[in-house]
Amino acid sequence: MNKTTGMFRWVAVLFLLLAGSAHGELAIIAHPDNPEPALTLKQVKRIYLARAKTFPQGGLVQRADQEPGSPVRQEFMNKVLKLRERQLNAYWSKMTFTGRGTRPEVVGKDGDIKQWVLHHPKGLGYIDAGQVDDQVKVLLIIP
Amino acid sequence: MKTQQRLRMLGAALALGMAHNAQAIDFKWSGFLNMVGAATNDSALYLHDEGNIDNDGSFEESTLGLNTIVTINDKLRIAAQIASAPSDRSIDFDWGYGTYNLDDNWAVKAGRIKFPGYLVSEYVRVGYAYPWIRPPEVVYSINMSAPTMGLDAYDGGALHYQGFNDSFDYSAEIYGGGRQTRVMDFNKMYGLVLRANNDNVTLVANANWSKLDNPAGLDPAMAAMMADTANQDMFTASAGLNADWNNVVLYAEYARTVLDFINAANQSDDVDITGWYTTLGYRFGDLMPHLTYQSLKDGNGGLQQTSWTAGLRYDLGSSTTVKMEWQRIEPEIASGANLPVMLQNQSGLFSNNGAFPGLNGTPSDKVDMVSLAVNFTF
Repeated sequence: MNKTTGMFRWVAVLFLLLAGSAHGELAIIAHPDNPEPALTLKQVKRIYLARAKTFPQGGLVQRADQEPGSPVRQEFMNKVLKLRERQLNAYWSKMTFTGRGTRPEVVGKDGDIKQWVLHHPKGLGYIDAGQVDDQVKVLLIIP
Repeated sequence: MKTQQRLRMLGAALALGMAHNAQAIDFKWSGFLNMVGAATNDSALYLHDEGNIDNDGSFEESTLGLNTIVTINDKLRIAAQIASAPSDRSIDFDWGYGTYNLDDNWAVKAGRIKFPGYLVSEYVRVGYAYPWIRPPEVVYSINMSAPTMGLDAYDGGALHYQGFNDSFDYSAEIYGGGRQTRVMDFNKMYGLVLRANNDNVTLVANANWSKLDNPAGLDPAMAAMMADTANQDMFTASAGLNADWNNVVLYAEYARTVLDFINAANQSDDVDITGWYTTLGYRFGDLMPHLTYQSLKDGNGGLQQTSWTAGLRYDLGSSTTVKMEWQRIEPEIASGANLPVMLQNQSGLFSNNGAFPGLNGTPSDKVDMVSLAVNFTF
C-alpha cells in the first residue's frame, strides 16, 4: 500500500516536472498551397503515427520529423503523440515489421522543417509556434 | 507453387505501379536480428522443429529478417519480409502483400498475410517489439499441440475496415485463404478479427475456421500419423489484452482450438486445446523485469503444461535490447487414447515420444530452461 502511494507520488512529481518544462506552443505547418483549412490534434496524431496516410481532403502526406534530442520534438511527443521514446520505438518496430507504415523522415530543426515544407506540396511538419512566418500555412496551434 | 504465383502477382503489381508513378514511389528498407541461445536441464527436445532446445543448448531460434515497404501512391502500398527460418536455416518468404485503400475506412489486402488473430502474431518473429525472448509458447508455438496447429501466415486476401473516435482506434477484418505448412494443409480457412486500441490499451478478438487436408509430399510415416485429421474441421477462438500504463506492462491472452479427427473406433471425435498466459512487467527506465504464467490443456486426453517465467529486458539505445529468462516448465503426458495419433504420448510442448521415437525421451515432471537473447532492429 505504502509502496503504491509512493509510486503515485513519484509519478505525479515527474508529471509536474514534464508539464513545467513544456511551455512553448507548437505549430503544425504545411505548404502554402495546401487546401486543408485546419487539422485536429487527433488527425495530426493519426497522420504522424501512419494510421492515416492521406490528408482529409486527399493526397498522400509526407511527414517531417525534428531531429532526435530536439526539445520541440520532445514537446510534440508529450502533447500530440502522448508516447515516450521507448514506446515510440516499439510502436515503429510493430508498424514497420507488419508492413503497415514507416517512421516520418527526420529533417532537422525548426528552420529546416520550414524550408522542407516549402519544397513539399503535401508535406506536414511541426515547429515552435514562435518560429512561424507568413510563408508557411499553419493547420493547428497546440498550446 | 502457391508462393511462386503470389510472388509473380506481387512483382507484376509492383512493375505496373512503377511504370505509372516512376517518380513518386517510396521504398523503405528495414531489418531485424534475434540472437538467441537457450538450454534446458533435460534431454527431451523442447519446441521440436522451432527451437529444438535440450540440455546440449540450442541457437536455433536465432533469426535474421529483411523488410521493405513500397508506397506506390495514395491508394496502393506493397510490403514484404523475408526471414531465416528457425527450423531448417533457409531463407523463408515470411509474408508479402499489397494493400489497396478504397477510402479512409476500407482497404483490401492480398498476398501472403501474417496470421492476424493474436496480440503479437503479425510481428511474432521481431524480438525487439515485445518483452519476452519468445512469445508465450502455449499460444504462439507452431508446435502441433498448441492452438495455432502450425499456422503462422496464410495465402489469400482480407477486407479491412478501420475507424476511430475520441478515445479508441478500432478495426474489423475478414480474411480467407489457405496455407500448406510443413505438417498441415489448411486447405480452406477464413476468419474475423476485431481490434481496438488507445494510447495505453490494445484489445483483440479472433475467430477462425479451417478445413484441413494432409500436405502432399509428407514422408509415409508422417502421412500415416496425420491421416486421422485429413478433411476434418478446425475452429479457433482467441482474445487478448495488452496494457501499457504508468510503466506497468500487462499482457493476457487466451486461445482455444477444437480439431475434429477420426478416432481409433473409426468415429468422429474432437480434441479441444486451450492455451492462455498472463505477463506482468514493470519498467524501471531501461530495465523491465517481468513474470509470466502459462497454461496449456487438452480437455480430452490429459495433455497439459504449465510454466512460470521470470525475465529481464534491458534496452540499449533505441534499437537494441538484451534479454534473459528463466522458465520452469511442468509438462504432463497425454494419457487418453481418444486423441489424434499426432498427439498421443505427447508431453506438453516437448517433442512427441510416440511419433518421433529415438529422438528424445519423455521429459521429467519439472524442466528448467534458461534463455539469453540480443534483439536488434535496423
